[in-house]
Amino acid sequence: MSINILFYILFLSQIILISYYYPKQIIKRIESVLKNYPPESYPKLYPESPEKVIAAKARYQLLNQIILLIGLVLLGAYGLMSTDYDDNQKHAEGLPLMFGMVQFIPFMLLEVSGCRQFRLMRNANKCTSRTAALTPRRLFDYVSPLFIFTAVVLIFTYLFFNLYINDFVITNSFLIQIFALGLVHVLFIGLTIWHLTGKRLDPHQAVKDRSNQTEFSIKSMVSVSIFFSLFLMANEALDFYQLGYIEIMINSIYFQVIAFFGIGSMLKTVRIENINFEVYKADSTSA
Amino acid sequence: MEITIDIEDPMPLFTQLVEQIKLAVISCKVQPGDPLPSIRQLANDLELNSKTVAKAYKLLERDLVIQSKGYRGTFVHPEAKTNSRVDLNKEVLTQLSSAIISCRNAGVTDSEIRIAFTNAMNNKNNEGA
Repeated sequence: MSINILFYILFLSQIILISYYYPKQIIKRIESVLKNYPPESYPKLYPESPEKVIAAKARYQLLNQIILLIGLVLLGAYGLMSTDYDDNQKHAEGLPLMFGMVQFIPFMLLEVSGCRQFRLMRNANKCTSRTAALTPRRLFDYVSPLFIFTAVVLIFTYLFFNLYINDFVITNSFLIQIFALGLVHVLFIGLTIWHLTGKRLDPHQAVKDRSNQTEFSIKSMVSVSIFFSLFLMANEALDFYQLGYIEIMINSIYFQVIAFFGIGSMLKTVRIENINFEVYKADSTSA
Repeated sequence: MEITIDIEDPMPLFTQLVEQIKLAVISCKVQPGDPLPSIRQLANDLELNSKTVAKAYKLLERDLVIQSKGYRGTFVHPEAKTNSRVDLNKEVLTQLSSAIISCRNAGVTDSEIRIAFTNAMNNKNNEGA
C-alpha cells in the first residue's frame, strides 16, 4: 500500500509538473513577450500576425489541459486497478513512460511551431548585412570536460553493469537498449555539432543570446545523457534484485528529471529579461 | 568581437572579410595567438559559401595575419598587427604603374602594353616566381 501511495504522489507530481506548472510558466513567458515587446515596436519578432501567436498559445494551453485531465483520470483508474495487485507485484510500470511521452507532445508541437516562425523570419529578412562573432564556439567553452567525461563513463558503466548482471550474455533486450542509447547519443552529437557550427535558426538573434542558448542546450543534453544511463542502470538493477514493483516510480522520476533538465533549466537559464530584443526592432540592422 | 559584412556591397565578400579581420587585428580587438572560428562556423554564421570564407582565410594566411595549426584550428599570427598594415594590392599597383610609365616613355602603345601584360600573366615560366 505504501508503494502505491508513494506512486500516487510521484505520478501526481509528474502530471502537475509537466502538464500544469511548466506549461503555465511558458504561457506566462509568451504573454510577457506579447506585452513588453509588441509587434508595433518589434515587428521582426512577428513574421505572422500576433493573433496567430495568441491562437497558438490558446491551442497549447488547451492541449495541456486535456492531457492534465487524462492524467488525473489515469491516476484514478490506477487507484482502482492497483487494489487487485500485491504491493510487491510489478504492474502498469509503463504508465508513467507512456503518459510522459504524451505529456511532451505539446512541447514538441511548440518547438515545431517555433521552427516555422524562424523560417518565416528568415524569408521576411531583407537585411543585407550579416554579423558573426570572431571567436570559435568550442565544446568545452560551454560545458566542463568533467561533465562530458561523467556522461561517457556512465554509458560504459551501464554497458558493463548490464553485461555483468546478465553473466556477460548478450540478450536481445540488451541489444535494443544499446540501439536506443546509440540513437539518442547520435542525435545529441548531431545537435551539438549543429549548435557549434551550424546555421542559426533565428536570423536576427544576437551573438550573445546564441551563445547562451548553445550553452543551455549542450548542458541539457549532457544532463539527459547522464540520467538516461542512470535510468537504464536502475531498471536493470530492479529487475535483477526482483524489485520490479518499484520500476513504476523510477519511470515517473525519470520523466520528471528529464522535464526538469529540459524545460525547467530552459526557463531558468534563458530568461526573457536577458534576451536582446533590440535586434527585432524595425530599424535594427543586425542579422 | 563581431564582424559585419554587407552582401549588397560592391566590394567582394571575401575582401570584406579580409578587411574586417585585419581591422579587428589593427584595432586590438583580437590579439596575436587568439583562436578564430572555423571556416564552417563563420560561413554558416554569415550565411556565406564556405569557399568564400576559405578564400579569405587563404589570403590572410598568405599575408601572415592568421596561421592554421591543423586540427587545433586557426589563430591570429604573432606578427599579425604589423602584417595587417601591409597592403599588397597597393604595392602591386605602384610597381605596375611605374612599369607602365616606363613603357609609355619608351613609346610603347597601351594596346601593346596590354598584350604584353596578358602574355606575361599567361607565361608558365612566371608562375610562382
